[in-house]
Amino acid sequence: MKDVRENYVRGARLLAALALACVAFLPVPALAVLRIDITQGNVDPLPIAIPAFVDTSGEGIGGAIGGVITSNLERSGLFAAIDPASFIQKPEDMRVQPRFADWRLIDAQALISGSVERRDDGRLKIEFRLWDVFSEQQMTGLVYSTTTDNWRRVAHLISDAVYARLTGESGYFDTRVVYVAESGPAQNRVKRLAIMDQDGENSIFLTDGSHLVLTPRFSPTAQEITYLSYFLGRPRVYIYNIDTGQQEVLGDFPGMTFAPRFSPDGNRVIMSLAIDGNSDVYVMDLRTRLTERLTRHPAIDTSASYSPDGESVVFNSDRGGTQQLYVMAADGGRPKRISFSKGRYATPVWSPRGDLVAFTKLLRGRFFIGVMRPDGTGERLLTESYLDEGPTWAPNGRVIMFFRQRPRNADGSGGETRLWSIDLTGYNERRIVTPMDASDPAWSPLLQ
Amino acid sequence: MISAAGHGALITLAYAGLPLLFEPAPVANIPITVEIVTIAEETAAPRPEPKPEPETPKMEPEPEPEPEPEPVVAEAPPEPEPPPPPPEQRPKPPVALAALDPEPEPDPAPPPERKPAPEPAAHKAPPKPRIKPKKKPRLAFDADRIAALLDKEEEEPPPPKPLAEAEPPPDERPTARISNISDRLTLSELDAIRAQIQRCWSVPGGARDGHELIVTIRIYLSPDGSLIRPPEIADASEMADPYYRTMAESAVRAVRKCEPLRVPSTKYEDWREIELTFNPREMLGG
Repeated sequence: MKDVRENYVRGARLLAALALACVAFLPVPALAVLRIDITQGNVDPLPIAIPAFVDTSGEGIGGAIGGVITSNLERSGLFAAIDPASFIQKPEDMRVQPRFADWRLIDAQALISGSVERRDDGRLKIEFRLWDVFSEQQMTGLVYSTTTDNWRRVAHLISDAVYARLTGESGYFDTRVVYVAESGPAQNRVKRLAIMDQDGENSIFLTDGSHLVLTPRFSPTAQEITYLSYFLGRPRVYIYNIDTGQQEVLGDFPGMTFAPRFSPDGNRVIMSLAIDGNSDVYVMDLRTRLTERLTRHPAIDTSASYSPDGESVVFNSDRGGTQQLYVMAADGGRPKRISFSKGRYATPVWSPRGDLVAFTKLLRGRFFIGVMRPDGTGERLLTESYLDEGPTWAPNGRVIMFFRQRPRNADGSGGETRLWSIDLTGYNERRIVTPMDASDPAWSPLLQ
Repeated sequence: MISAAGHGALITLAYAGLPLLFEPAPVANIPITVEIVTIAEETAAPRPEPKPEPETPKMEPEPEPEPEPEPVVAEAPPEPEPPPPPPEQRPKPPVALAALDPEPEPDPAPPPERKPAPEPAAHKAPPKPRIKPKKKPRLAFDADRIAALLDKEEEEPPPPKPLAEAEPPPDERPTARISNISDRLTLSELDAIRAQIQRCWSVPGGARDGHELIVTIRIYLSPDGSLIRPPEIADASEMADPYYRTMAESAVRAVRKCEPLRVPSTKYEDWREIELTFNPREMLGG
């Protein structure tokens, strides 16, 4: 058998050689195709070149747009912007077509070219193209028509488009974060609701600080925030409308309400209600204002968060003796414990992607932000510090923001509270710079 | 050579070492030797033992002199008609939104018109009008085909020109040699090819989050290790899925970045066509 095959192979080779010698154009008959598995690759950030946008509008924002895109993409940890000093081709020369060889020379794999022009009606036309340097193809491109003061938002939109095209994930740059801005001495802390762009820019206060506010949460569908505020010393759940600035108390309950969150459709708010020292999970329909009780247990049940399909709710409870995570049906049925390892678990948040639940974990005096699957498997701890708390998901479910407090020293120094973000991979921990101390971040959905 | 040395060493060891077997220390060394032999055997498996020399060169990934200097050159040519889809009329609907409205792809075409500077001809409506003179020469790369491929309408028989050009001097010899050499690449040769591509592959971010995506592409090489035609994505129908597309594009980019591949100077038939399967899962820890 073997001989026969060898003979055949030899014959084929000979033929092939002959064919090659005589008719150079004839392809050699292929034997079995060689197969190679590539199981390792480079996880370094993708090298991307982001030149300043060519700005003929007279606004002089071309460079700033490139800068915002650069910092967005770099902060994601998935991209490495190439130093503009090494660029060979000038941005102005790219308007016809990039000279890809020039960009390959400096190791760029992707390239963004863009321009800002003044339209006849006075508005700006901002345009960009994303190029695959090796395939020499345009991967995507968009044109935006906008007013000058909106340029930053356009830069975020462009960042999202680029991110989505190169990673396959949707982006999260055109988003905002509502948080609690803190100031003043530890004993008399002023806490105000504030909102800012995802990158820390454009931070403004929503409340004046006369009442303590905690745990703001974004509505998934509207410009609304639900949060906890102490009014006349009594903690209650409120709703704040970002557009109108109006706030209202949600329901009038005999006890205190706290830990609110919107349902995925934005029509309900799930929260905790404590009566006579026993807290359980309730849900209020915002349209009918009817309230339904979901848990009925002498233990403390709180911090409820819906799954993105609205079918399930994750919450924490000490009904098992220590504070652990449980998942139940949205109507309160069949609660099932999902966390079993050592330590205490708090503030569970279901990922917008549905695949994971993020939580705060307290173990041996240290705090962690971690994730696990909704069935309790695959627990991973992403961060650790003296105090990490309050995870919130980016709308694409691959970045988590949280707040971190440093220990307070005996002399009163320390105790800074800051916002941080971390990747699902557990790498790329970044601080989000805020004008003052900040806690309890809540990430908005992608803006409409 | 190495193989020969390995054999020699084994034999020597066998002779000299056998008696020592009774002592504990030497035994430890033996296993190492044995491993080397194993690899060698695999590599040599199909071929008659006598001629180990030809292999030696293969072990080293960088045997060929010519391919290396070329890289730049090789890359340059591909530019020919990069302008992918410029021709299309711009589908973008008039913009009017108050704040900002993203209009679907402003298609590539627009820019050229503003600045006809370098190539006047380029402008014409026709799709890929701009053929820069020089580009064509070498690799005979067809950007059209690239585009076509990506759009998945490939399946052309590109071999003709490429082959012709590529072959002239270098190949003939190798081919001749090939005939009397084993038809299988050694493990080391395989590893060398694999290592190059792995170094060139930037795993897309989405994949790192555990999306289980496996992408297979097929590449066709000329004897100097450059691509004869654009890589083919095996399951092109999946390209509608953004994750898949991202993975597939990263795979193609890896191959292009590595071009020309450093390949063995012989056994062209074995590696002229390679099916590469990109699977990031192992790397990501499952």
